[in-house]
Amino acid sequence: MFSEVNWDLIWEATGQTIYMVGISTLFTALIGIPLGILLVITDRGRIWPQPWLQRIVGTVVNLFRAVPFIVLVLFLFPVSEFLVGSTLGATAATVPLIAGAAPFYARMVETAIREVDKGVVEAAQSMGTTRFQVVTKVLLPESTPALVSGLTVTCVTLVSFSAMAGVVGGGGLGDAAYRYGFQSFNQGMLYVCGILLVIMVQIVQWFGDWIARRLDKR
Amino acid sequence: MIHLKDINKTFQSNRDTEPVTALSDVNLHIEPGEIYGIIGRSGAGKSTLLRLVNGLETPTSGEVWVGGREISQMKERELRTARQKIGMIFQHFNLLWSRTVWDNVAFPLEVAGKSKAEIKRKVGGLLDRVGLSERAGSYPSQLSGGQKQRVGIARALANEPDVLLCDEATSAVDPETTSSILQLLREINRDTGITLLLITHEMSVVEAVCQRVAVMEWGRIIETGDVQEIFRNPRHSITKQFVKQTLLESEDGDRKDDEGVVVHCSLSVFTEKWSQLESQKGLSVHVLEGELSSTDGIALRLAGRREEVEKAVGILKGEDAGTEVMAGVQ
Repeated sequence: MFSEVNWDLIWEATGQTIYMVGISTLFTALIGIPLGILLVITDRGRIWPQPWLQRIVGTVVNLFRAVPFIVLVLFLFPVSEFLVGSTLGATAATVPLIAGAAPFYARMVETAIREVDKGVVEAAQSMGTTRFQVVTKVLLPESTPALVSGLTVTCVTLVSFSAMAGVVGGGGLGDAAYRYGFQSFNQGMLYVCGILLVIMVQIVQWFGDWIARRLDKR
Repeated sequence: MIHLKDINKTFQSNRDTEPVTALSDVNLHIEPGEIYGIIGRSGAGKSTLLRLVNGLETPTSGEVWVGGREISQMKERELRTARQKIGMIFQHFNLLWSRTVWDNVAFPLEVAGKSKAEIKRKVGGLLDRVGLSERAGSYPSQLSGGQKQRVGIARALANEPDVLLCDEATSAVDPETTSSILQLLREINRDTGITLLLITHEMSVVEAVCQRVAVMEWGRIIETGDVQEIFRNPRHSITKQFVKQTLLESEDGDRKDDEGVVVHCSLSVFTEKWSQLESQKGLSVHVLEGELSSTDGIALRLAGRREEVEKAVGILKGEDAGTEVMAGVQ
């Protein structure tokens, strides 16, 4: 069965998946963390109450989360064109990946930040911290393990989302499994791609759990 | 040092409901170097009052002065600087679990923009002061409650404040730890002349450290005065209850007379007969073990004139077979 596997194609696809998931995880964190923080601190009774801003950010986040990923990919063609200069290829595929995952992660960040003991925030304020210091010195460090676990889950989701990136020619293991495996009646290709995806998810999960555990001093 | 003038504070939870009054007509004057206690039951408004002093709460009307400056009128930036000179410790310690003991104490110094060298020098001294030098590298989760509060105290003192606010600082630790924490606070007050304002629901805490006390109920200060005077002559019924609470609590350490008997009875009997015992002149009643919340009864020492004690035992025995005399003349 494995004699028909084209390993060159497999390795190329693996590289594309790692590239897409890596880039989009990075940007998901960069966008999701500030959004999540904003969702908490603009709430009533928090350090920067801005009810309107909170409602706007909350609505935008929900909007992106409500749209099915495959539709998001098509919707965001113009955005990919504008940002990347193309609507095709692995880099172009990261645009919808980020747009799909960042709001998802932002909600996880929100939950993580809400879990930070209000008493600790109060203590920090009693010592004369600015709002910015509350965020950087209290909210973020005190929620790090939860932020890491959330990012792990998001990254795993991105691996599966990336399989759909084949639509825009992003390639990757999901695309390879579908085109060279399923459509070409090549069982070997199908299984190898599947197994590699499983291994990748396992590694991400294991690594994320390990970091989260190491950071947790509670 | 701390002056609260005609303070009123109401909370408006949302637009449709009536505002809730947290504080009304509060006036309080605390001298520099004093240890001042505010006692009240939960919901009496003492926590809100304490938070006015460092501007975590703002009064709806009235003025808050600390060290000759009006906290209640300060702009944010000014308030942040002022807070560095007003330390605060908490019932649940509120340490950062992600930081070591050392880094927790360094926190307020970082916030105040102190140099690395100065932080290093000061943190060492502070940990030494609270007796935790050896735990500098530990995380809060590895410490006991008493040790955590010591870290909290070191942290609160880092910027050499003029005032230390204590928010139920001993309510979450056991009695021995409570007394060692109170001892530490007393020493710090003696050595640095810092003004201490503490809120508590335990009269024993007031008795142990405070010079003056204010009693709060329903957002008002109902009685103030010298602690000894309040104990000798409580006027308000709430104050009387608090004073009684400490008499019940004290394990008659200084009256180890052989007089009296130890009686064990069920809680229901005790609560039912308590008013009768209380009205008996010349009888003192001390709870030896058990608490008013326990289910397996409590042990009491009844002391006083022999006939009074016998009468009291009779009252407690009543028809209940569960009451027994454990020891003593009988």
